[in-house]
This record gives sequence, structure tokens and C-alpha cells, in this order.
Amino acid sequence: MGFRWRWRCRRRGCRKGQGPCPHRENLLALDELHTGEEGIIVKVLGNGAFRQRLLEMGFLPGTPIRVIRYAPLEDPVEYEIKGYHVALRHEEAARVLVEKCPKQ
Amino acid sequence: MSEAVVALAGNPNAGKTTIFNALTGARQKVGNWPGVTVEKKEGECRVGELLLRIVDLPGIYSLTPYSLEEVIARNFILENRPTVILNIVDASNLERNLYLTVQLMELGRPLVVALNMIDMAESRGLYVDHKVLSRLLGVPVIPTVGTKGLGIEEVGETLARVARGDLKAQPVHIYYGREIEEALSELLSALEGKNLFPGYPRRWLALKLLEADREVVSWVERQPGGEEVLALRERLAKNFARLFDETPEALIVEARYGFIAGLVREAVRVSAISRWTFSERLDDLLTHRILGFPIFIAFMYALFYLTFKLGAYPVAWLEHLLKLAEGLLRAHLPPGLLQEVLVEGVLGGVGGVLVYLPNILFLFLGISLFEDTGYLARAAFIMDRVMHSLGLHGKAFIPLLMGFGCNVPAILATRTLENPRERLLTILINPLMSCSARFPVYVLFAGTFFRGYETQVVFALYALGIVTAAFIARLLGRILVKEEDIPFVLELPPYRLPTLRGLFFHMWDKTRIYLRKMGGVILAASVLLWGLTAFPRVDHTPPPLEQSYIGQAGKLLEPLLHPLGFDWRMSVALISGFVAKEVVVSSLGVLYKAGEGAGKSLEEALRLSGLTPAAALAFMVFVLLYVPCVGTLAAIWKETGSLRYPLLNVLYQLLLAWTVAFIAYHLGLILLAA
Repeated sequence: MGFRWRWRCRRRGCRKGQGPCPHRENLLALDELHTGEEGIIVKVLGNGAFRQRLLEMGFLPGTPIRVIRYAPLEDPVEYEIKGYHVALRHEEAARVLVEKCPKQ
Repeated sequence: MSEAVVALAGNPNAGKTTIFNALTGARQKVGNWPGVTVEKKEGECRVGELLLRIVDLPGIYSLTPYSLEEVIARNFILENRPTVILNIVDASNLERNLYLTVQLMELGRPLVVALNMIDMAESRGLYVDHKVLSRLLGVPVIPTVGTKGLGIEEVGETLARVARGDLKAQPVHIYYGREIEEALSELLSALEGKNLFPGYPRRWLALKLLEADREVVSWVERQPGGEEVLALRERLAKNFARLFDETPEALIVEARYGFIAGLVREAVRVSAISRWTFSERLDDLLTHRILGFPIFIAFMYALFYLTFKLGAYPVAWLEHLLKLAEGLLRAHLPPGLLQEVLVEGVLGGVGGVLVYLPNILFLFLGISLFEDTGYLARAAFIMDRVMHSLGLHGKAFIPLLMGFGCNVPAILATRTLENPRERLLTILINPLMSCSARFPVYVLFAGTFFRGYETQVVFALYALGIVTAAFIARLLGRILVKEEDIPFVLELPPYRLPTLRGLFFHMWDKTRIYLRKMGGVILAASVLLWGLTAFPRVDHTPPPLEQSYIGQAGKLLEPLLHPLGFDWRMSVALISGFVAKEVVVSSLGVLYKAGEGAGKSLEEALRLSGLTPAAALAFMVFVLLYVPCVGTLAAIWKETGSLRYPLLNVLYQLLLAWTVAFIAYHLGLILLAA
């Protein structure tokens, strides 16, 4: 998203289109998706209460998820999953791995 | 006549309250869950010869006990064994809602599903076949539209039939897949040998053990022979990790959603996708990157402007009515102690509060409107970044906003926060949110000393409360323990048109708490306060105020409060405000009207007393920030489970109030003189 997203990207020292895993081109953290983009959840990282809660809310591997919008102050981000809308913060979304769907 | 207990369960935003109200009407009883202060609502519904006692469980997403609400809901079902569970399911958000349904089915009690908001689902192109759903779940499924009252009668009748045993509502067993089922049967036989927890459903216990459910594991740990079962559990979990590289709990969640996916495939027909459109377009505007904040602030400002301006008319009528009552009492009662108690104690006290009821009603109406339309969730969405920087959850914004109504329910509302640290922080700063009880003080002083600028002055006071809360949150956040690992998950339900009935119930619910508080505590406080002003008697007549008990107490405190520009009567009013903030105005009424101001309105009496606008400003600031009322302190005590926190609140708020009021007084002296 705009300026902040580019800044985050530079700080991590990654190049465009390069996700956390070098073997799968489109594997990204959920918070790296832009408004309107869609991905398929691959894995929820972390453990304990955090992971259980996200799984129970429907963040299961193979589930499509779409970025609806960023909040006015960039954080949190509204997603659509399993037909409902839910907001997550960047720090949480960063622990959800997704495979980005190609643009239609 | 026979009775049956019905437990009402469902996700937040599934329309649970609407259905509860539709079923029970006005026959409701509000109390607390034993041991904790989460609100418990009970209602009655008569179907023929059968009386259904409906217990409203807290709104929850799952039965995994991560929040207090979830523990309460689960324990009620397990321990009280309700005759039937009524599960409200939002048809327009079927998959996630059915997750709770599946967990409820596991508890093994008879279940009835109300498929709510089918109109909404159909407008989004989702057609749910309730007959198919009913067949697959093994329980009755009734389509309803809670807001229009559709299907409510059928729900009542079905509940009655199930309760009488005329209708089978035993949920089917869910098949979790071969590996999990094998592990379950191993755990089951281990449990059977030990004969642990005879009253609980066996399969459920085994399932919870496999899920490493915090509560169940700690129960089993404490039982003789529990270690063996837990060791078996560990072995099984290791096996799952080896086979699937996944924990059993995650696999069970997947299996449940797998079952749900099957249900949805069979029972839901999706037609042309016309989903969300209106709600999404509205969100494009209301949560817009640039326009979102101005709109949010405008909404908040409008809320207080309307409360102030529109509320002024009924206030005038009520004031008139009270004058009439006072005249009547004076004319028809013989002069003496009884007349004094009734006119000065009761009418002067409670009456002085009652006239501000319209303002408070308008305030609650506004807050209910935000809640029922779904804007409150958007406000949390917009505000989360700000709240997060204070170490709070965006959801903490909701209890903080509720705090503008009354801090007591607001502190109870912090139960929606799952993180204990964030919750504690939200509780501790909540009294800085200017509750409606402080509002009459502002109305009085702003109306008297800042005529024409009331709205601006009051708005500034509310803003000051928020700013100090932010400051304190940052400060306390550093001191309190580090946070646990619980995610920020905020559901944004589609916008809904609120119904008048719903708004009324919502508003009434909140006003009732205020009224009840007023009826009991405030009446007692007013009479007590009047007693303190009317004793010790001098020749069977009231003493001059300076010699009364309260005058003596006020004089004692005067040197402390003198630097803020307060006289002894104001310090007396502040002492009385400790009982309840509403009492500040009524005691000012008793005190100022007693001396040279007799027979005048309180505004005139205040103006005559030689009070400066700067001192009035300092007084409003002091009332905003100083000690929470007894009710709030009790709520803080109960909610945090420790006396340390209410004490902390008293201390830090007194210090804060004195400092800020001192600054306000001296700034006021300089600025208002210029």
C-alpha cells in the first residue's frame, strides 16, 4: 500500500516479487497483499491461542482470502474470508502465509 | 405448569438479542453470572402449558475457552444441562456461524437451530435449504427473520415440542476422519477405565483432551489417574506431528470445517452474486482513507450536539413539573421534618437528577444507533491504529465509548477483550471517559457561566478526558505486564438498518441500569446528604449550613481545594459525588439554594455566590477527572478481582484531577480576564 508498503519492503531488503520462500514464486505473507488482491492461505504460523483462534475463524489452508481495504491509518486491514469481513493487524497478517493469485 | 430451560447461543452479530427480545418480550430479568460480572439475561416464553425459561448466553465465536464468555457459555451448558440449546445462526454468514453449531453439537444436548437473517442471505444470492440442513445435522432448523418477527412463533413451538420430548433433536455425531477417530477411541477407553467425570459426555471429554483444551487438561491433571491419560494424549499428539506435521487441535478444526463445507455444498444454492454491494459502497465512504476520520469525528460531534440541543426541550418540561410538585408538597404538608425530607431531600436530590434524564436518553439512543447499524465496528477499525499505539485493542474503543454513557456497564463491556493486559488497561482508564452522570455538572456550569458556548465547552471537556486517558494508558502500559499472544480479530458485519423496536430495547437496557442506580444509591445518598446538612439540630430547626456536619467536612477540605478556586460548598458537593456523580448537582442545589440563594433557581444562586468562570471551569475539570463513583469502583474491583486496582484509580485520579484543575483555573484566570 503506497508509501508505507514500499518503505517496509526496502527495509527488509527484498526485491519486487520475491517472497519469504525462494522456491514458490507467489508465496507471501498476508500483509504483503495489496488492496483488491486475492490469495489462498497456505499456512498459519505461530502457535497456541493465536493460531487456534485464527483457524477457528476460518483461516485454514486452501481458503481464498481477499484484501478489501486498508484502514485510514494503514493498520488494520480488512479482509474477506469465507463470505464475511474481518480486520487483522499487520503483525498478525504477517504470520499468515498465502499464495498470491494471479491478476485476472 | 411445567418448566424447561433453554440456553440461547450464537455468534456476535447473529441477531441473538433480537430473537431473545422477540421470544421473551418485556419479561426479562437482568443479572450477573455467578462469580463473575458478565451480564446474564433471562426471559420467559409461554407456549401452551409449558413455560420456557430462556437464558441468553454471551455472544461467542467458538467454545474453545480463550475468553471468559466462552468459559461461561460452555460451563452453563455442561453444568446446568439446559433442556434445549437454541443456536442462532446467521444465514448470510453460514460457514463461520456453523462452526459454533458443530461445537454445540459435540456437547450432546438437544439442539434447535434458528437460521436467522434469511432475508439478508437471499438478498446476497444465498438460498439455504433448511430441510436439507436439518436432515444433515439431525436437529430441527427453523428459518427466521428476527427483525421482522418471522419464524419466532415456530421457534417457540419447536422448543416446546423438543422440551416435551415430542420431537427428536439429538445432534448427529461428526466423523473427524480415521486418524482422529482412532485417537479418540483410544482416549475414550483410557477415560472409561478411570471413570473420570461421570456427568460429562465421554466423547466430548476425549475430543477436548485431544485438542489440549486448557480447562479440561487442568481438570484431568487434578484427578487420580489423570497423568496416565495425559501421557497417552502426549503420545497421540506426537504421532499426529509425525504423520501430518500438524497439531491435533488444528486437524480437528480442519475436520469441523470440512464437515461444514459438506453441509454448505448440500444445503446452499448460490445464485447471481450480488453480495455486500450496498454495504461495501457505504464502507468506501465511511472508512475512506481521507474522509473516514472527519466523518467519524463529525458523527461524534453530532451525537453530543443533538444530545445537548434536542435534550434541552424535555429538560425544561421536567423542570417545570418538579416546580409544580414542590409547590404541591409545600402547600399540602404541615411544615416540619417530613416536609423538609420530602421537599429538600427527595425532590431536591432525585428530582435534580431526573431532569437530565432526557439528555442521557438521547446519548444512549445515539450510541445504540451506532451499535445497531454496525458503525461501531467501523469506528473500532478506524481507531485501532490509534488505540494500538496506546497499547489497546481497537475493540477497546467500544467500552471506552460506552464509558460516555456510564462507566459501570462500560467496564463490564471490556469482557469482549480477550487479552487480560489490554482489558485491565481499558478498565483503569475507563473512568476518565466522561460518563453521563458528570454531564449534568457540565450542563449546569457551562449553562451558567459560558452561555452561548455550552456545546464547545462540553466538547472540550470530553476531549480532555480522552487526551488524559491516552496519556495514562501510555504510562500504565509501561508498568503493567507484557501482553500474551492473542490475535486482533475484528469482525466487520454488513451495515444493517436498525429497527425501532431494537433501538428501543437497546436504549432501555442501558437506561435501566442508570435508572436503577439512581433509584437506590442516589435517593439514599440525597437523603443522607440532606441529613448531613440538617443536623446537628439547633432548637429543633436546621442549623446554619456552616455549622452542619457537611459544612464542617467541607471546611476541613477547603485549604486543599482553595488553590483551585473552590469554596467549601463545592468541596462538599465533591465529597458527595463520591457516592454517585449525579449527586454533585443535587447537593450543589441543596447547598446553594439554602443560603442567600433561597427561592432562586440553581443557576441564579450560583451566579449570585460570587463564583468566577475560571473556578467553574476548574470545577468541571475536577469533576471530569477525580475519583470514580462507588458503583464504578465496585465494578473495577469485581472485574479485576483485586482491591489494588480500584485503589490505584482513586489515587492517580485524585492527583491528576488536582493538577489539571489547578492548571485550568490559572489559565482560566489569565485568559478569561483578557
